[in-house]
Amino acid sequence: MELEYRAADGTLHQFTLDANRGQQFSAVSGEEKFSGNWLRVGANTISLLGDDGRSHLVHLARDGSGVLHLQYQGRIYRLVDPADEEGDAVGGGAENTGGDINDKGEILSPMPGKVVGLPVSVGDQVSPGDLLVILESMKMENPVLSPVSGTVLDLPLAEGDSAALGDPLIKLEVAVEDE
Amino acid sequence: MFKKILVANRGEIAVRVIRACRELGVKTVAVYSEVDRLGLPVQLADEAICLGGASPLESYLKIDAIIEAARQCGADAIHPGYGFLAENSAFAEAVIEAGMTFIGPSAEAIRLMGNKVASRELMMHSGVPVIPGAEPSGDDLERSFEEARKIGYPVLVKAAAGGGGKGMRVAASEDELQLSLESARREAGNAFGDNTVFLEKYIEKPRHVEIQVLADGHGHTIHLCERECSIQRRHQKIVEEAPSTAVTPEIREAMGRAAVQAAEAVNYTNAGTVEFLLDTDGSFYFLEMNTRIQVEHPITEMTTGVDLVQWQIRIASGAALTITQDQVSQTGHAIECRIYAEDPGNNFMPSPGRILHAVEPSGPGIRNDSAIFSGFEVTMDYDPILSKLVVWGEDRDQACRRMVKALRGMVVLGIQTTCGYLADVIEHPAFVSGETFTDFIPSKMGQWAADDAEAGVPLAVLAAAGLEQRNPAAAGGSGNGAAARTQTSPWQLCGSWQIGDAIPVQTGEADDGGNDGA
Repeated sequence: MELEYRAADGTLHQFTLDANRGQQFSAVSGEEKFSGNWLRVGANTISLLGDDGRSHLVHLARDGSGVLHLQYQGRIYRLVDPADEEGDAVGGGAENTGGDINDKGEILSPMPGKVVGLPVSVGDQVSPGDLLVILESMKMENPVLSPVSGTVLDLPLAEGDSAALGDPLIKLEVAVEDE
Repeated sequence: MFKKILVANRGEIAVRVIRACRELGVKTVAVYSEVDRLGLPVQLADEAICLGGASPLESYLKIDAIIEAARQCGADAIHPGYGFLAENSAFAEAVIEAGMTFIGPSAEAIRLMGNKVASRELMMHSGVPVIPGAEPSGDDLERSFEEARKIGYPVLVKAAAGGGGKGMRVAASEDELQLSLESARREAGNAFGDNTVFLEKYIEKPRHVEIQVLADGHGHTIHLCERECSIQRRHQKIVEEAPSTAVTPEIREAMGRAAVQAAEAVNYTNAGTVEFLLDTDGSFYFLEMNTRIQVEHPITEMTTGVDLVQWQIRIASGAALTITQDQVSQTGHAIECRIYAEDPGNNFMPSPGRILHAVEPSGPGIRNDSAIFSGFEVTMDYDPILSKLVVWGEDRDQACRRMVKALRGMVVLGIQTTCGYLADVIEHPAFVSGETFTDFIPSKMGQWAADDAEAGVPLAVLAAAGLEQRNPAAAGGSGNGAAARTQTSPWQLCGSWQIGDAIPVQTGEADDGGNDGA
């Protein structure tokens, strides 16, 4: 069967997985082929034993928003089945939206935290790199900088308010560049 | 010995203290904030009392509430751990006034060592080397030149009201000093409204080396050798080791003696740490004394075989030290890595959230002081430390290799951790060769980048993802928090332990392997 996953960096990975014969599997992606025997050795662990005799251990777990977190050889991968992606739900878990701006001009919170500094006011002009918000999380103050030039349209949060991951912190009218 | 100890802390250090109490046969009381109800200290202690809200001011820093909790449960001693109230002399006093024992030094010793200026004075008078420096110099340039000559170039010009590197200049000559004084004064005036500056010897390549001391109430003070903690990020230690590659037996003896002198100068009792800056020529200077158990105490325990937390409790209960200085020796090499819930690939942004799955590394010489588990929620309210991974090896080389294996073998899914970054620190050629100075992180790791994006996703990972999707595990499937975990019956969990074809397969076409084993 054809499968497709989107990685945290946005890349799509397509491959064919054949696992209809008991514990035998075969995965093919382009030129690359990986086949062997698979076994679930724990609720969160799959052991893959390649036909070449090499053993691979993959730890995995799915979070509340459907993102699959996998750890393999000390490295972490986060994958989403594009079929499960609805609206902007992926932003919640799969990708880090660090100081990112969406198409509505909203700067999204890169982490859950408390607003402890809000040096801008509605109507202020901001340039890339300007400090917009200071978020306190885990005893540390984290500056959120403007990725663009623009004008502050709305401040949905006040000092002392809490922001969840991906919450709009500030709304900007993004300046259109003259060329 | 005490009957019941209240542990006024959270996380891994609370677990560490509870374990020490258990081994000594002392009952334990955990105190916790509303968000820490599920934490390991509450699970492990004999009793647990809620202090209040998540904010430390409403819980772990609330002296009255902690004393009241201790009274309520009949505790006869309080262990403060590190951080929070550990070095708060008012807390130590309040504990004593309430008729209980504070497991730590006297309030007076905490106060004296907590004051940078007063402790420096006191150390100078006690014969402990401090960084050569001069009192605030006025406008008299000639006098400043004279002071700088006495200290020896290069000198550091520092703002008296300083902080964050503002108003700080390094000068290698009189010409440079003149310019540095002017600009440092100007900058300090602008930043702090006070343009007073003073001079200090500038140490170009310092190491942070500290000595562990233990002192009982019967006049015995011993030291348990050094720890090197030069690997620091934003002034936070992240990797510590014992012994230090730069400490010779002669330096160890001199530094150990100075640390004992420092402790005796304030009639110190209990466990404490005297921090020094070590220069490349072997000279060292007193920085400060930490009047608590340190985060990095395990590496001393691993190399000396002395249980520091148990000794804290024994000493506080009035016992005399049974270890003499001659009996203290270091064996092998230990390293500790502090693992944080931070994303090294994204400027070390905090990464709170639910830990979906965690597996601690294990094996010979591996110790993990942690308070996390699968399902644990890392909140944004506290320090982001997840665990302290400690390894011991016969020598430094073995310890380093063991640490890298352990870091890469540690599984934490659901949040970002610094494991990969720390493994790269340990494998860095400069670390391997012991070239560990306090500028290591900015100078050697400045160019570090997570390589996940370039590496792509291996086919093994994709295959596992596909197999998981088609054959979700009984317990791991939804991962939807505590509700999902509690809905899982033991029988479902049991299924995943059966080796063979016994896993319930939920997609119709894939079940020809059969459930005959089930």
